[in-house]
Amino acid sequence: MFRESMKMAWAALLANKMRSLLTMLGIIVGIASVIAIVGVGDGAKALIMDEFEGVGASSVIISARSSDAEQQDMITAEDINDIRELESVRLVTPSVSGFGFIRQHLKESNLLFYGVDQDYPQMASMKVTSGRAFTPTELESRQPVALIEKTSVEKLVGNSDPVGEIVEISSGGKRQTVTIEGVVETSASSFMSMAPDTGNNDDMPVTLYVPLQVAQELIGDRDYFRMLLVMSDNPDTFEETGNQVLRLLEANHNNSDKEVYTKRNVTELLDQANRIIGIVTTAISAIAALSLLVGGIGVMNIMLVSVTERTKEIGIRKALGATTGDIMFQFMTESVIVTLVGGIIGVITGLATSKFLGDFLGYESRVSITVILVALIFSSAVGLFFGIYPARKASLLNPIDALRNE
Amino acid sequence: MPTTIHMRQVNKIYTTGRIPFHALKDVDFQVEQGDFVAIMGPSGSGKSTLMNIIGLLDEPSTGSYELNGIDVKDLTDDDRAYLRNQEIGFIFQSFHLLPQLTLLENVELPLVYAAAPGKERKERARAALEEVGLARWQHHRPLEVSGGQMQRTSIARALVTQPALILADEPTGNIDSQASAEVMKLISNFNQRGTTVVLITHERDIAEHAKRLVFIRDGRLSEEHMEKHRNNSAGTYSEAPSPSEVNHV
Repeated sequence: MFRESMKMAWAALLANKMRSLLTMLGIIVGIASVIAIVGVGDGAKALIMDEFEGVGASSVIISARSSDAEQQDMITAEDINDIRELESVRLVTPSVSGFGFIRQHLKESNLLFYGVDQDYPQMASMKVTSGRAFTPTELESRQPVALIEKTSVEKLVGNSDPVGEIVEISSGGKRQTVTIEGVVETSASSFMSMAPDTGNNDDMPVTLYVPLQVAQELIGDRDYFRMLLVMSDNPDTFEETGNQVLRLLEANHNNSDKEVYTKRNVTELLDQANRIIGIVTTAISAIAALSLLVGGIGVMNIMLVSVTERTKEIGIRKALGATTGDIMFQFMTESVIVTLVGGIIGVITGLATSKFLGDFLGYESRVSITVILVALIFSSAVGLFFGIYPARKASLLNPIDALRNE
Repeated sequence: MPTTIHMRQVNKIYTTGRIPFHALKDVDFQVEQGDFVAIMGPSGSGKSTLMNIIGLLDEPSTGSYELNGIDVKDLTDDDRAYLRNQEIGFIFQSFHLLPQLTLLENVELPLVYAAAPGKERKERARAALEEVGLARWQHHRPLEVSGGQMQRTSIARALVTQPALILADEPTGNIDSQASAEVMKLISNFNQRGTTVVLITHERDIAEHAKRLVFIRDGRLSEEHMEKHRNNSAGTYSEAPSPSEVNHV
């Protein structure tokens, strides 16, 4: 009976292709929008999670509050060395970065540079894809060397090899000539690439990594830092590690009464970002889901028309022994198939749309199997729900009246 | 002989309009197993109502009706559907085939509702089509074949469940005389093999295939025996005997 009903429902759908498609349209639009939005939202979440997976879980950001911090409260290289001595600290690196300009062969572009010390490469999951990394000597001195972010290579030198290129970088009136020694990929860089692609790459800065001291000199804060990233050796105790670092800094600077240092949890920040993305995704999805409701009403409408049109068929089936349940089942199957097929088309359309949107935003959208299954189950449920009334109406037709209907 | 149809004092009153309409009046009607009864009557006489009640498509307002010994009074809709499926084969004037299905699928339909397994269903439907001489048309759709072929298909559909009773409502009303002859021959053949047949017609020569002839007029039944008719070469069916003559049949 089930197979028969499926066959009959399918035949009924094909008999009225255009009408079936129009009936499905509401469902298709609804499912496609939900899939596309969730895909883009989950893609953004996944991107953030991936980038900070290694770092985030056990890291805290320590900063000196700029409003309260005076010169003597700023974090120094000695502080960092002391922090590194702490048993629970695995990595510590100051966050030094700035904007400026990079000039090469008379061509000038925007520049984003990061200062790199011994722990930075590990912290940022830096991978060398060509050329070489900084040597320990370079990291500890003011050598005029630089590494370029892979995504910036094309912007700087087109298709040629950037390794060995000599460029001039400047920031706040200070200039420095550096030699590019390698091309790297880091988590921070892909994070940056999340920024909407304006279609005009001229605005995107070239990202360079220079030894910490070079960066400090460029931004002018020569001897001190405002912000540190500390990674604990155990994800479970990073809170405690953060507190230890705060106490150490307060002791070093003798300013425990000022509460000048703060710690923020990277995971917390990520959670917050994820929550916001989640709320936005859910809200937009809910609006899109409204079109499923409208689609469902459309399905009910068409099924009612179909019942009226097929009164005679229903009479014949009843005369031949179809029970109320058989007729009910047949029409329910039909409306579920309409919405399920609509759901499948919607999922395909949604996947394509979310991929397109992802490409446009510059990252990969993600649609999980669960989301697809939920979408399909939901669209079937819409068919089930909105099919009940027409199917009930069909099943209660009096066979004599139905047979008389020509 | 076991009785297939046993009706006692059946009345049917329709109350859809403002004035109730008495469609059947105190009908006593009995059909034995293996019989072949033709019901004749002008339009509006109540023959369709009688047919619908016999076929369990409608219920009597009063009186009792037993089909194969089962009192149908207290049956649920689904019970009736089951009995229609198992005990009755319908042949309609306008065939009532589903246009979107092939002839084979149409014949299969009663077996679908009888929950027969797919393979068995196909085999039995094919055999039934073979019996009515339509095996090579099995994959055609109703609109691709002639009226006579459509009616033969509906005969195959009526017989595929091997019902105790065939109910034929003007089976030749929409087909030409040659096709009519074929259809009646098929119905007679099945009757000879033991299937009870109740036939509604207003054509005398069609009614002649029956063993018994029953008239209906203004909701009342009356019967004339075939022998009487057959001795009467002029054919006097134009005037039905008055109900008072033979009301118990």
